[in-house]
Amino acid sequence: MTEKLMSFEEAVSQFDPVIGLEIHVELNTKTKLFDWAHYEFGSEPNTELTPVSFGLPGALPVVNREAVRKAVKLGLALNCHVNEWSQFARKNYFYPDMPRDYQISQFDKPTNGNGWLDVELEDGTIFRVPIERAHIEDDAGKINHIGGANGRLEGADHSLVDYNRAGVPLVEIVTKPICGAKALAPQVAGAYARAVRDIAVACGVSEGKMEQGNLRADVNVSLRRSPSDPLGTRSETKNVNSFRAMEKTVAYEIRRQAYILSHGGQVLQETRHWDENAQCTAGARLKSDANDYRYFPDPDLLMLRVTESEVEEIRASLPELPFAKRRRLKDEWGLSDTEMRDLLNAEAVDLVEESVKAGASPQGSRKWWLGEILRLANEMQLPLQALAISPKDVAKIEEMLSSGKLTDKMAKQVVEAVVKGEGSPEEIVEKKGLKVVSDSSQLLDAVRKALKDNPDVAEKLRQGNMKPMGVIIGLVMKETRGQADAKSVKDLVLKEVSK
Amino acid sequence: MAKLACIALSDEEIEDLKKDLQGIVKSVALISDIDISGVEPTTNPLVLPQHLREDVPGETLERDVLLEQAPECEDGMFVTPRILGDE
Amino acid sequence: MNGADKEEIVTLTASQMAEAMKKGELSSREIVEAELEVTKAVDPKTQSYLATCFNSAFMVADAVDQARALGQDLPDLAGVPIAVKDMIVTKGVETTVASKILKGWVPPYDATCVEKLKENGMPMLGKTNLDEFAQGSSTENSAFHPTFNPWDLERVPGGSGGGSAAAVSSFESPLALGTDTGGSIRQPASFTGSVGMKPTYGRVSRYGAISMASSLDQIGPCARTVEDAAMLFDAIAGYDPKDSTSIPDFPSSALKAAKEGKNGDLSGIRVGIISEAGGEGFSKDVMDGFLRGVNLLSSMGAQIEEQSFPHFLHGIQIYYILMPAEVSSNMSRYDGMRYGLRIMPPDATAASMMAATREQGFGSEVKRRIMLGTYVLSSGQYEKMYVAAQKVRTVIINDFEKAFESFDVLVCPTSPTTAFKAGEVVDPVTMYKNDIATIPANLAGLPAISVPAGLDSLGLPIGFQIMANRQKDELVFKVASALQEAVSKENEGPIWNKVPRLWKSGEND
Repeated sequence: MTEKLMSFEEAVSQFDPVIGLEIHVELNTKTKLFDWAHYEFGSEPNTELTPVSFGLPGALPVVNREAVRKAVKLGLALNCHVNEWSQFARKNYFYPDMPRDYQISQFDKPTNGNGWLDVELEDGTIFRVPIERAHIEDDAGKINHIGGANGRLEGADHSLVDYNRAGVPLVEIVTKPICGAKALAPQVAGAYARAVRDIAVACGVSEGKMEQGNLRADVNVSLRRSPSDPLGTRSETKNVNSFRAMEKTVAYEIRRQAYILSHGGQVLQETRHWDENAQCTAGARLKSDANDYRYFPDPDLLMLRVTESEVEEIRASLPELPFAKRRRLKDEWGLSDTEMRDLLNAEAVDLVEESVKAGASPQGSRKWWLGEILRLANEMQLPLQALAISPKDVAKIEEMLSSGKLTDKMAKQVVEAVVKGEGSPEEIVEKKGLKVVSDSSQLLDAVRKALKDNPDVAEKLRQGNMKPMGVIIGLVMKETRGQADAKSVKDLVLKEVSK
Repeated sequence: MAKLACIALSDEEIEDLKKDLQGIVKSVALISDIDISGVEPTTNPLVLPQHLREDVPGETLERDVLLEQAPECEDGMFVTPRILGDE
Repeated sequence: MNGADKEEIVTLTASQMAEAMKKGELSSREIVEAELEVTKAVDPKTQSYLATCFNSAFMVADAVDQARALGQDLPDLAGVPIAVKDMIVTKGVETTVASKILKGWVPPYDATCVEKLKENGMPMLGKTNLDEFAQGSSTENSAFHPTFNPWDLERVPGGSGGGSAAAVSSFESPLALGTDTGGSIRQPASFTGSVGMKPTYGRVSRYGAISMASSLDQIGPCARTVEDAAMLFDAIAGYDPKDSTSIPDFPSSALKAAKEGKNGDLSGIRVGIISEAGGEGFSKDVMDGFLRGVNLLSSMGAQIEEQSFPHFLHGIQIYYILMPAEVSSNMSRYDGMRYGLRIMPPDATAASMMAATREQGFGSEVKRRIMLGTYVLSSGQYEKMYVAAQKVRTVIINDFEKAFESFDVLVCPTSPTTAFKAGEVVDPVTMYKNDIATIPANLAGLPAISVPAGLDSLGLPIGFQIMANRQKDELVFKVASALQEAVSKENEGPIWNKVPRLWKSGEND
């Protein structure tokens, strides 16, 4: 099913896009939200359950204090108002991954209300995203589809449920309608989600690993002709699991809806999903016509109280938040806006910071992380953080380079080997026998030999034509098995030809 | 309604139910005279803030015991019939 | 063991059993044996139990007897057997809530109160019958079989906890646990001449009591005497970190209060008669018995005054909004996915399997309440019905609070009538009215007890209800104990002892 689209430029010139994001952040507490089971990603199915998280008859929820503290911390970092009294409510619907067939969430009395978050866009402008609420709720289990293609829901003849994840604490951060982003709407969505993830990680409340589902987003998009019109009908794209996909979802939905509206059609209020293979959104499942969640306050749980002094205590424990930290680091490191943004986009700020802490120069470590290491990461299709090389390794290599123990070329070799898990920089230098040839008599011999063997090149050099310099350097390198420092070689050549 | 409650009711049951609903509507009429302006709703008769649990892991259930009670299981997981219907 | 011994043993009260064991006159094994014999003879008539577990009861009894022989210090109730309503989860023992949907389910954990019974060394004799998911007032709605009233086997024992009440009053067990959401402990106690007590909401952990309506449910004791009920209350009450609605730091001393009450001195106690609980629907016999009870209280020095409760009778109206709402959500987990029944319709999807399982697994009363609850929570009705009812609940609570400024306890008949005949009440609304006087205590979370006040003209027991302010459970026991003592004197022996001995052939069968 291919849908007709309007070009993005035309769509945003004709329509005003309004987006909304619901981001679920999985908290990294030791136990679940309502019971004492520990949860770890990837553990044996159905082994991390108690009567409570498995929804056995008679079992009752009791709220995890640490989950509340972490949710409040996240709320404060998102500039939310923390309500002294909040309440858990049941969201009733039947689904095989829900042990109780109701989710315990918060409805009209969330713990965190009314916040905002400033996000930085690619051109350096700041866009303020208004936040409606950041409430606490529990997660459902996981369904594995059997018999269909690629483990998808469609075509599966039956499915298997692992309830381990059921009951894991989530904070759902719901934005208010985000208006006025116009053509930047896709970027705003991605930048906002990244910022939320960075904040959650910086606050220590979530691991923030997208690939493990620690952060999942639902993306709402609607269009209207003019900012003064009421909001249009929105589509809700569920479980968009990467920042790029969020951006693409927004762009795709803008184009799709613009086409429909400009042809006199109506946008359906429906649930869709992002199809990474087809690079489009598609109607996921028919949103039940009678989707009435019948929220009501959970009678098993009393009102949740977070006192002002607790809020202040949590506020005092907030770390420097990523946005402020970046401004500070940019100044401290003397980077340009572009350089800093590149670091951000590559998610390498923390790595560079750690490298600098370990003794590397800001510029030096920036170049390594965004250069050779990023290239290798892309090659291996892994995030920078997942590579075997650590900021300490980078600092060490930098030091060996600046003290002249390694040449640029050697350093690259070391980096590659460390990335590939062959050992520490010292071990690799040792193993590969990497040593700068600094014995100048040995070098001089090699230079003289190269010039002698290539009289025409030598002649050109004598006449001041430096173009063939590389030929000589290459030969010297070959002679010294790459262990010569190119700059020293060049100096020697110049000395020789000017004699 | 039956769909919301996830029960495949027979027509007869639906008829009976309509009568019961009328009864309940009547009883709502009976309380509609009571002055509830400015009254807070009671969700639970206990008027205490809720006590919270410390974040300490404890004993979990044996998977085999759970699977023994399952209507159908496979590979340590619970089998559900296909989720997408024709509706 | 001869017949006389057996009768002697099972008609002992729990406190007498405990005392006899302490003195070495009786072993726990002998008690369980006697209960087994009586149950074999009586249970085919009353059908109190859904399942018995005498084998494990004997193991517990023997362990207690051995410990006692070794001179170990044991809890008061050690060795005293007990029956448990099948609404309460018992590890390794099938728990069905009298529903097809849970038939065969063997829980992997114990309810907190069951853990406490085990800590107290109490042998569990079996799981007692109830209306399916405790939804009913006659124990006729059990998916497996009805229970009959030991006083007259053609009559119902009340409900939902008819099994526990019948077991206790027919001497199949000295004690039982019940659950009470709108009167499920007290109304059966009233129908069977036994004592049933609903504690203050939060004093007994609900962990492991299968939820019907979470904000109304409480586990409580069923016994033949107030003293026995108080002993059991002390054993099961207390803070439980697994129940978020459990009251912290509140030690109980019900037995002490019940013993005090036995002295028959109620001077200084202010008793309010709820004038609304006595009008239309309340039988003359019940009112007569109730007023005799009031006179007895007065004769023991209590100050009696009538008190009007303008919203008392509204309780039942909002109960039938709030209760089904909570029921509809609490019943959702029975979906055929993880445990219990699964019905696979042709070409099943997850949704059609769930719907078919729930259609066939639930009885009609449960389905009715689920549908009512779904309706009152639906977006069009929520504010108008559910929230409005929650506000009326507050109004009723305020009425009580005001009344408890002037009174220590409030009294009224437990039930408008004495036990009715099986099959006699078919209309749900008429059935619901049985709980008109018991529901308000659940709405307000108050402690309330039913004790027999005498017998009606047919020789059936009449229940007398005593309510007190939250956390005044001990006061309830004290006044009830005084009343039971006075009623015994007036009737030349306790009411519970006047029940037919069903193990004797020819008695009431």
